[in-house]
Amino acid sequence: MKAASTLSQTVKAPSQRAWTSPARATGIRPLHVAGVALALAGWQVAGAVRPDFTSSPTLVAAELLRLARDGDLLSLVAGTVGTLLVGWAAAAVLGVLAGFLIGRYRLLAVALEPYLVALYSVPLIALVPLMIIWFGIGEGFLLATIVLATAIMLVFPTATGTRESVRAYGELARAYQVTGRRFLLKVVLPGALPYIAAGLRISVQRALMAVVVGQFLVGHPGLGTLLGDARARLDADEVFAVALVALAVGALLTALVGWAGRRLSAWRPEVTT
Amino acid sequence: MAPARDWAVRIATLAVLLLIWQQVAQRMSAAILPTPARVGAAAGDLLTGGELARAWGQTAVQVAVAMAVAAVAGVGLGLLFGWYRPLDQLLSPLLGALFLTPRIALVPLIALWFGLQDLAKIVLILAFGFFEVFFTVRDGVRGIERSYVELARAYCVPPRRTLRSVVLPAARPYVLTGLRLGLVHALVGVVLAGFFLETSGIGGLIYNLGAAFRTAELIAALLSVMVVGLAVNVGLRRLEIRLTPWQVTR
Repeated sequence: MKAASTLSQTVKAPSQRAWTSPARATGIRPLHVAGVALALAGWQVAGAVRPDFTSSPTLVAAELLRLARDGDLLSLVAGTVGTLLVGWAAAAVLGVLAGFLIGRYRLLAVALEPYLVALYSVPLIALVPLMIIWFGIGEGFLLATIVLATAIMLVFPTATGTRESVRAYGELARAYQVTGRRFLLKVVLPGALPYIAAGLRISVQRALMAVVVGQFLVGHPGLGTLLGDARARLDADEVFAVALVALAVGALLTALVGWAGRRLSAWRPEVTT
Repeated sequence: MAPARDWAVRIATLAVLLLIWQQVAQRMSAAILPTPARVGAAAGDLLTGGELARAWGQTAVQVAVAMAVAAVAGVGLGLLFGWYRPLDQLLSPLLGALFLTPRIALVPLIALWFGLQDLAKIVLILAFGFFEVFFTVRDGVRGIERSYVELARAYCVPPRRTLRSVVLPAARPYVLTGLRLGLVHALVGVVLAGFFLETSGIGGLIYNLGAAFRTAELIAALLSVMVVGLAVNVGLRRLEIRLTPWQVTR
């Protein structure tokens, strides 16, 4: 009963704080700023000595401006992120569906779990050449690669979440005769959401990696081809500029997912004992 | 259900999967999807021809060197950063930023600094393996029961000795978990090193087989990666449970 009442209220569970990084929980400290400032200063000095080898913050900034002006950096990045989001959404639907089935039906779990564990522990990025053979080198290939690399990351969290919410609310729902689709959509899915959010958080970096590797290998325009160009030319300014762009995209996506996850599971009642 | 019946179900699943593969493959060109039998034959060829062994041999040396460095640096720095908070605060934004950069974005940088040969590959594998070790150990040291440390302090145990007899033993499970996760990630680095740096090792073999449309051999090589990944992950987890049975590992 208590669990059910907390479910309907908007309760901020204090335990949620443990999920965020300590830096975010406590805010930015002076030492953080000092560290970044020191690193930038050191980089600038190193750049004055060997600009061809380490570049420098000012050179990289200039290069970023040049890329944005001449190399349509923004549209390439936007295209990459767009592809990533579409593929990632498809992976999420697939992964959550599979995870739900495995969490709900024990027979499926018994039958499939060893193979899913095998997929989970394998560097799925190795399958990219096979994906090229199957899907060509277009947009479809990129989407397939993202789905392949990330869907599995959602299966296990969703299965755990499904089991947990059935265990916590299953009997209560039966007592109130909440069954069928209503049970699924109003009880199981919301109960599993925090787990799904956690799965999304750990899969976002992999999704980014998948799309970038895919573009890198087949030359599909985007962040991956920027990296390819940088590697081919070995121009230090460009190498660092592109790495910074990749960092920004990765950090932004991770922050976004973390924020969304906290929003979605802010009400999470503490039943995970 | 009894474990024996569980395994019967699993083997039956495998049989069904293989049957589906067989049926689909018979309707397709062998360049797209070869039959399981063909893949088996190709695996035999790769094994007897020594291609697979050579590729894995090159890879194993690189992984060994990279993981040795990752273990020493990751555990050492993890302990240091977990223990001395100011140091962590000073450098954690930078390390966090590096961690969030998709490691693949470091490939041009590594090519610029280290070329395309073995050294570059070791650095790339290190870039994949190091952070898992480092962050797991650091968070582990940070998360050590405050009461242990406080007790040591109450008894006026010198900090050095606290580190050695309280923190280190408490951090041991995290070290093992970190090394396992690091090695699992290092395999991703191995594959990408073969794709984007010099085409050698198992990653290079996969790349070449894919480029030559030798699909049966490609799938066989991928299966070997799968076997190694699984052995690393499951085997090391077993070892972990045996070495630190008091800990629930993730």
